Amino acid sequence: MALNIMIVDDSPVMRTFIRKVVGLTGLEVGEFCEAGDGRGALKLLEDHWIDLILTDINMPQMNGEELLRRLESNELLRNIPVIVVSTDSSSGRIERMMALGARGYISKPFFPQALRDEVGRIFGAA
Amino acid sequence: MNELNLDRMIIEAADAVLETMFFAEPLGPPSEPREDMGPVLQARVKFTGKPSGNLRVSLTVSGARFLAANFMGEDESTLTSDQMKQVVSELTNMLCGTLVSKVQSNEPFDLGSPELLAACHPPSSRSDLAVTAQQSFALEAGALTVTLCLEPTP
Repeated sequence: MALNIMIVDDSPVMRTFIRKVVGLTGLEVGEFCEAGDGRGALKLLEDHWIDLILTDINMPQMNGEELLRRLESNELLRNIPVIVVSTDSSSGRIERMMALGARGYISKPFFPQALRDEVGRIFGAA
Repeated sequence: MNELNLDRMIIEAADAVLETMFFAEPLGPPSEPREDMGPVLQARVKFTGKPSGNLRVSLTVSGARFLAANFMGEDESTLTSDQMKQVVSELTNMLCGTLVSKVQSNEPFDLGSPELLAACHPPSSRSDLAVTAQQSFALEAGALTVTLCLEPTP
């Protein structure tokens, strides 16, 4: 099953990296969408069918926490799995993001296999 | 916490970040003194917690080009100056997050956004905190210096 994946990160080079890593995992990808922050992500979701969101936390305009809150409050969007990809690996942050509705969390730095394992865990359980 | 532990933590953080995200490895101390390594790109990330401080990364241009090419999966010749600066910022961000997680293993902390520094920004100036720990690494191309500055604990 090909996944339409959205990458949300304010760093263009990090979005490129994540796209490359997704390719290395062997996951079948239908379409990539990219946004620089939560606001841009919500805008793209108005017109694109997305199966998975990979999001950073610290972003301008709208950060990852607020993005999760907005997704959870939207009946049409709340079932899209979200994996947080962040440098913050503190247990408090991880717990907070999972409580907001994130289905997975990957701490940077990470091997490509970690992303594949997390996606496999989420979609394998679906 | 003593400086020996911080030096080891910097080495471990550099190992982890370079290997996983940049497909590179630190090769030991550089053979040249820092002042002979040529132009550098520098970035800094400030963090708050227990303790607070900042982490600064100084990367020779050749090192930045090498790491950026690995990070982005592109040929070095196609990289723009802007891309190289963004990669240095990301490297600094990840090194800081990894290192601060080790230093403050059970304490919450917040990372600021990476800020690029002028190439001539001195290792320490009146406005900077004193250097707490510093390590320099040779890379396959160029060299990397990681400097950790911690605020004195009350």
